Amino acid sequence: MLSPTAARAPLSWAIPAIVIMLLFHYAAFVAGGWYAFTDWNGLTRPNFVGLDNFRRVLTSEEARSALGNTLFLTVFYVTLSNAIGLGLAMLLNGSLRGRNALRVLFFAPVVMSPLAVSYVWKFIFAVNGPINAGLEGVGLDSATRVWLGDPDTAIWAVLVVMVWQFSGLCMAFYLAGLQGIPDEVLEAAEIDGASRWRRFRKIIFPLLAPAATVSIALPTIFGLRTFDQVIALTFGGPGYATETLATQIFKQTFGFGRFGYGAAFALVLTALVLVVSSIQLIVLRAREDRL
Amino acid sequence: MTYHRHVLGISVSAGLMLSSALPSLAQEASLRLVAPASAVGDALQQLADAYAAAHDGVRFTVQKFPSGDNYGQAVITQIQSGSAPDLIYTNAGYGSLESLMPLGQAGHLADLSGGAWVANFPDSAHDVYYDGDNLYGLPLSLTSVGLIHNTAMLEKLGIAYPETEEDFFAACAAAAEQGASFSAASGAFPYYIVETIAASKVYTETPDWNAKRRDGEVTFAETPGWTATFETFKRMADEGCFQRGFEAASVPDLFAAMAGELAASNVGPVTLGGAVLRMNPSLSLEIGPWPAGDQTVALGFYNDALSVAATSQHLDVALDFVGWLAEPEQQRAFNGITGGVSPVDVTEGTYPAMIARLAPYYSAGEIVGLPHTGWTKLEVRDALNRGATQIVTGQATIPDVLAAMDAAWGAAE
Amino acid sequence: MTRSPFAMYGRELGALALALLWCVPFYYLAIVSLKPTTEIFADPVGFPDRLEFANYAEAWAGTMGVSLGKAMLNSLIVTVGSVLSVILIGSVTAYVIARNGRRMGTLMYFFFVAGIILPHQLSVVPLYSAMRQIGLVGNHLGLIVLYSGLMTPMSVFLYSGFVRTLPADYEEAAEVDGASRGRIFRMVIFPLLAPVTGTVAVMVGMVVWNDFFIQLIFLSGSPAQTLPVAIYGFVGEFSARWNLVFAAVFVSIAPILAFYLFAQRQLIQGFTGGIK
Repeated sequence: MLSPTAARAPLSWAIPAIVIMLLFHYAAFVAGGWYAFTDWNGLTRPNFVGLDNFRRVLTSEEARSALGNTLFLTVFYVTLSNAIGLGLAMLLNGSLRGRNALRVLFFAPVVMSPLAVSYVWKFIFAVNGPINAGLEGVGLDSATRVWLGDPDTAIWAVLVVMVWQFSGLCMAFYLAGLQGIPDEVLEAAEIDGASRWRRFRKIIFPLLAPAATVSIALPTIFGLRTFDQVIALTFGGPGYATETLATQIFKQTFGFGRFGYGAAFALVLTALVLVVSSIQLIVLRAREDRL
Repeated sequence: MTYHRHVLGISVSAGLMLSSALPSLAQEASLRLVAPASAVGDALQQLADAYAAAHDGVRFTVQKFPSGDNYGQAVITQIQSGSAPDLIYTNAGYGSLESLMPLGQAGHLADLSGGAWVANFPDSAHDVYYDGDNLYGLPLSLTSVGLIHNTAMLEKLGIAYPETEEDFFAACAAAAEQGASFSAASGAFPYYIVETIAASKVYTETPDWNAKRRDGEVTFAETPGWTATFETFKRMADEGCFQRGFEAASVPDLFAAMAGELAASNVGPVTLGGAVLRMNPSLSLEIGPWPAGDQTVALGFYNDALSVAATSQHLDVALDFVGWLAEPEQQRAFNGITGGVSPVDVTEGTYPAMIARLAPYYSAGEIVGLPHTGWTKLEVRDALNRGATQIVTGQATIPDVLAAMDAAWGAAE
Repeated sequence: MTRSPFAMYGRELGALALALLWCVPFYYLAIVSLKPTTEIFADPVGFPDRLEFANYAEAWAGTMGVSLGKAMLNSLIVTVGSVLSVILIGSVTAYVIARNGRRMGTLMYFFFVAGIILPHQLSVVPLYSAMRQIGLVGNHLGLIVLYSGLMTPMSVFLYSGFVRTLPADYEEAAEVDGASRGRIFRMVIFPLLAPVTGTVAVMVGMVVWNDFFIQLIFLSGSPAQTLPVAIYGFVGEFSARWNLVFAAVFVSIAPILAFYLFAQRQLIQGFTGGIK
C-alpha cells in the first residue's frame, strides 16, 4: 500500500530550515528591534530609552535627508528603469537586426557588482572626466560642474548609475512578458486595423501586467536599500545630499557605534519596505486580476 | 625601510641589554595585542617580539585589523563579546571608536598612573589621557598637524612661506595666476583644515576651551573664534585656494594633487606627507604652522597610544611591557618605524628636519592638541566635517553649522 | 499595413544610439585601465599613447596583503558554498511544504517567504555580535552560514512554486520499487527540480558574488576578504590612480561577465523564470 504523500516528506525534514529562519530572521529581527529602544553604544550596558531614538529619526537633519533621498531615488529609479526597460523591450522584440547582441549588451550591467560599476561612473563624473571634457570640447565650458560635489547634481549622478545598471533587468522582464503574448492576438488586432498606439495600450500593455508587477516590485526594494552606489560615488556627501537610510544605518552603527540609533533607522527602513511592498503587491495583483 | 630596520636593530639590542638587567618576571604568560594593520601595528609587533625574546615564558600574539572605522569596530566587538585582548592600541581622548577616554570611562581599561614613566608625562596631553586621577594610555608619539608644503614648488612659484593669513591668501592668488593651486583639500574630510585654523583662533586664547565646552560654559555658536575659523575656511574655498573639484575629492585625491604638483600645500597631519611621498618620492616636503601672525601656534597631539585592558589576566606583565615601551630606546625604535616624533625627543628638543618650522613653538611650549580629541562625541567632529563642506556648497550657513555642532554635543549626552 | 522605411531606420538608429550610450562606461573601463600613470594626471580622458599592461600586474597584487586572485578565490568559495547549502535547504523544505496539506503548507510558506521582504540591515547587528562571539566573523565558513540563513527564504520561495506542480506519480512508482524516503527525494524529486535549481543557483550566486554591505561588515581586514571588499580597500588606497582602479575593477567583473556571455540565455531566463 502506498503511504500518503505527506509521509514521504516528513515535517522533521524542515526542522533545519525552521531553525535557520528563527535564528537568522525572526530572532535577529527582534534583537535588532530591541536595540532601537535602547541607547546601546557597544561599550556600556544598554539602557531602555523608549522612543527617544525614533524621535530623533523624525527630527534630525541626517534622518530627514536620508529618508527624503531614499524616497527620491526609489521613485525616480523605479519610474525611469521601467520606462527605459519597456522601451528597450518593445524595440528589441521585433525584427530588428542584431537584436540578440543588443539584448546581451543592455542586460550585461545587471550581472556586474554595483560597487564596481559605480567606480567606473565616478570617473565619468569626475571634474576632469569625460562629461566635463566633452562639454568643454563643444564649447559649453559654463555647463561643466563638479557633478559629485554639487548638492544639486550629486543625487542625480547616483540615480543615473542605478538606472544605467538595472534598466536591462526591467527590459528582460518585459521581453519575457512580450514573448508570452501569442502572435495570433497581435495579428487579430492588426486585422482589426487598430493603430499601433491603440494596439499597445489596449492589448499589449494589459498582457504585460505580470511582468510589470515584478519590474516595479523588485526595483522598489533595491531602491529603498540603496547603499553601494552612494558609498562608492559620494559617501553620502556633499553634506547630507546623498545620504540614504542604508548608508545612515551603516554609519551610525558601524562608524559611530550608536547601535541603538542605527537600529531605529533600520526599523524605519523595514517598516517602509513592508508598507510600500505590501501596497504595491496588493495594487499590482488586483490590477493583474482585473485585466 | 632599510633605514628604519637599522635603527630598530640598534635600539632593540639596546633594549635587550637593558631588560636583562631587570629582575626577571619568570612566569608563563601569553598576551594578545590588537593594533591597526599599518606601520604602527608593525612597530608594536616588532617591539612585542623583542620584549618576548628577552623575557622567558612571555609570548605575544599581535592581531592586526585595517585602520579606520573597521579597527575601532573590531576592538569594540572584542571587548563587548568578552574576549578583550590584553593590550590595545588606542587613540588619545575622544573622537573615534578606539579612543581611550570612552573605553576607560566605561571601565574597560586599566589605570596606568602607577608607572614610573608617568613622571615624564607630556603636559599638553594631560586632558586627553587622564580621567580624574586615572591614566588610560601610554603616549607613543607626537603627531604634528600643519601646512605641509612642497618647498621646491613654492620656490618655483616665487612664494615665501606665509606668516599671516593675508600672506596665505596672496599666495593662493599668486599660485592661481600660474595655473596651480596653493593648497589641496578633500571635501569629504576637511576637518584637519578647520581644526588647524581653530587652533590659532580659539585655542591660543582659551587653551582649555574643550574643558569649558564639556562643562557647558561655552558653546560653538557663542565663541567668535569658531565663526572666524569657518569664515577663513570659506574664504579659502571662495578665493580658489583649493584644487578644482575639491568638494568631491577624497583623501587619496588630495595626495594625488600634491604628488602631481597640482597643489603646493595641504593642511593635515605630518603622516599625510608620508603618503604623498610614497606616490612621488622626488618631492621635498616640510610642515609648518598655520600662518596666524601673533597667534601662530604648533598643533601637535599624542594620538598613538597603548592601553591595557582592565580584564587582562596578566596585568603585571602588561604593565611591565608598557613601562618598557616608555623607555627612550623603545620610544625611538617605535617612531623610527612609524616616522613619528617620540615624546622623549620632544622633551629633549631634538626634532627631525621636516618639522623644523614647528620646533620653536614646541620648545616654547606653544602647543595646542587636535581640538576634536577633546570632544566627548564623534558626532561633533562629524558635524564640523560635513558643515565645512555645506558652507562651501551653500547648503548651510556658518551659524547653522555651529548650531549643529552644539546640538551634536548636546544630543550625544 | 507596412511600415515606412523611415520608421524602420529610425528604430534601428535609435537602438544604435542607445547601444552606444550603454557602451560608454565599458569603453572608458577598457582604455583607462591601460593608460600609463603619467597620462592619468595630464589627460585622463583621451586614448592612451601607449598601452600599459603592467597596470594589471600592479592591480592583481592588491593591497593589505590580499591579492585580487586570492580575493577572487575567496569569493568563489563563499559563493559556491552558499549556493550548495541554500539549494539543499531550499529544495528539501519546499518539498515538505508542498506535500504537507494545504493549510500547513500555506502557513509554512508565509513563515519562510516573509524573510524575503524583511531588509537584513536590522538583523545584521545582532547577527554580527552573535557570530563574532562564536568565531564566525572574518572567515569563509561564517559568511557561508550567514548567507545560507539569509537566502533560505528566496530559495524556498522559488522551489515552492515549482514543487507544487510536480505530480506524485513518480514518487509512488519509486515507493512501489521499495525505495527509502531519502532515496526517493535524491533520485526522483531532486533531478526533476533541475530547472528551478538552475534558477536558484543563478539568483543566489549573483546576490552573494556581488553583495557588498554584509561582506564589508563581516570580512574587511581579514585575509578571507572577498572581491567587493578587496576592491573597496584597493580604491580607498589608490582612488586617484584611475588606471590601477580600473584594472582592478576590470579584473573583478571579468569572471562574471565571461560567465554571462557564455551562458547569457540561461542566465536571463534564470532571472525572468517567474514571468509567464
